[in-house]
Amino acid sequence: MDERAQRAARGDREAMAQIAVDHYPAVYRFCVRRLGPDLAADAAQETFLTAQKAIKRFDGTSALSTWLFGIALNTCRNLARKRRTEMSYEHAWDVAANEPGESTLVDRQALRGALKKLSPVHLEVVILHEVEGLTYEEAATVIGVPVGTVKSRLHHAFLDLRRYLGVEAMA
Amino acid sequence: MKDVREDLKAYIDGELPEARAQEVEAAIASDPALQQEVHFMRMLGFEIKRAASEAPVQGAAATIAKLRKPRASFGFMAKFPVLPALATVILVAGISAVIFPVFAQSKVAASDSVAMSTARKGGAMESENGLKGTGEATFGSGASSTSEPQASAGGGMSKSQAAPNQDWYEQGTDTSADQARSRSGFEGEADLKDKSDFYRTRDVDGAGGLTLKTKDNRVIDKKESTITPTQAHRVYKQPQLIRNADLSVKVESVHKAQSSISDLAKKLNGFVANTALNIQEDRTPEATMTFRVPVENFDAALIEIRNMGEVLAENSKSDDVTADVADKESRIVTYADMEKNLIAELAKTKDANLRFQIRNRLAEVRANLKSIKAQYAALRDVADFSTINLTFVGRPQGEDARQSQGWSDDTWTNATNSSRGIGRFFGAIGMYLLAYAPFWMPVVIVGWIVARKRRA
Repeated sequence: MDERAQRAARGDREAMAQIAVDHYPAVYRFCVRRLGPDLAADAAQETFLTAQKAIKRFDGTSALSTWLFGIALNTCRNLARKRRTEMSYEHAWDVAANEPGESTLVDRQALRGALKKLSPVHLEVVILHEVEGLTYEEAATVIGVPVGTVKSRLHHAFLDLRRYLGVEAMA
Repeated sequence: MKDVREDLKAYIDGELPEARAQEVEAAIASDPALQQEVHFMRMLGFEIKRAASEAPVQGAAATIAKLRKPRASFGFMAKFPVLPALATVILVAGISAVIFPVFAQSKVAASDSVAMSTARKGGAMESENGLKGTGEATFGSGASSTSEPQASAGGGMSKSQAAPNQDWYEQGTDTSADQARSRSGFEGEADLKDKSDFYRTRDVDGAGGLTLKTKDNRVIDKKESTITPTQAHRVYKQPQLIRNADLSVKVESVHKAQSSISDLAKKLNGFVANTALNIQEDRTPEATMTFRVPVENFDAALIEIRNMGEVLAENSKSDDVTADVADKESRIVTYADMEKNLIAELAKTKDANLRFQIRNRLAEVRANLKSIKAQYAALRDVADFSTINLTFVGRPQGEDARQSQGWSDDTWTNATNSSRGIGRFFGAIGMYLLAYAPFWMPVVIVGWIVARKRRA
């Protein structure tokens, strides 16, 4: 188990602050991709404050980052509900088109269009695995589903993306 | 064998078990289409990662500072500050719901108390004006008619005059009730009621006679007068009240109500003076009762009766007869003294004409004395026992019959009644919440603001 997490669980505020130093950027971006930049800072802060209160319950069976992402996901859902909106992944993607001279294998505009067409549950696992870099098991822990479900959702998400993009989208 | 395509993504991500990974790898090596698909998936994953926004991080410093800042811990209250506030409000509303009805009842009782305290004041004034004077105090305080003798200690029985014949009288000289109690040393044979602090002597022979005894039970005087001069000095510490009430109560069963009143009468040392049962035109049974209880049990009786059903009408009143009682007592004393003096004079007088006049006067005094004693006895009777006139209204007999038709009707009635009660309860809670809004609203608002700040 993370040594700083143990200290934080004993009430060491500095240890919790150090955890935030390390994980805040990832958590913040996680929140930006779901709520947008306006609410992301609030969500990220709430995530760490919640984590500070709940760190005694962190048992180390998953990575600390995974545990934090799980809290962040719940925080994003709650915040979206409070603001009477829904989690949207429209902020997950860079809006910029291909830069001049930038070599991409897939047209980015077409890729964004295809990603937008994915169902939320498929998109969630795509982002967790492809963007956040979580393993299947970690993604399963964050969204609270079996690992097999994550594997299945990813498989179907990529089939859908291929269908949406078509051969002509390939550079 | 499971379709290799289903595991291609997991193979690329390194999430397959070793054996299955080898199988998939072999399949890919032998199938150019699968190779193309693997290539596409790898490329797609790569592009997805590149397409993801990498927004500049904001708010890190504020969050870290907040995590370092020690927070006041209020445990559960810090987490949900609104809940304790709400709990407090509900508690206050609940307590109020209990206290207010009690307060309302006490107000009803207070109206009686006001009358009593007024009467008490009247009694005190009476004492100060007349009864609580010296041995020469004047009685009657103007209440007597002019044709009748104004009672006074000088009416023939001053202390010094009485002393040679009445040893008990010698034991004290003051007129306050306590001192009178200590000096008297005698008890009338009739009961000495607790509610009266003076030594009340009652008719013991049914004709207004009085037997006075010392504490060692020695009879020292027996005479027609019920009141002696010493007793005339007594002070009423409690007002003499005639208390009456008229109540109309709706009950489930008038027979049960009648029976309950009989039991209540026994319990409170009272009695049922009369009772009658009528069936109205709409087949509503109605019982009327006259119920008399000792005045000290009047309030207890009213409370019990109110609890027997739904009070439809109630009217109670108290008449202060302290002055009347004192006046009659003093007049009795004065007439008795006059009678005694006249008898003494008659014994001494030899002149026939004068004896005739004394006899006439004696007859007149005795007639007045008898009349006043009768009035006094009647007054004491109504002051000692309060009268409660009751009307019990029952459920129409047809309705009873209908209700007994089946348990479902009863159940339905009970259910609707109880749901009405619950509705009334929540309505009352709502009203209390509204009434107490100036007290609890600020608490809730402060709690809410604190909660918001803490979340921020």
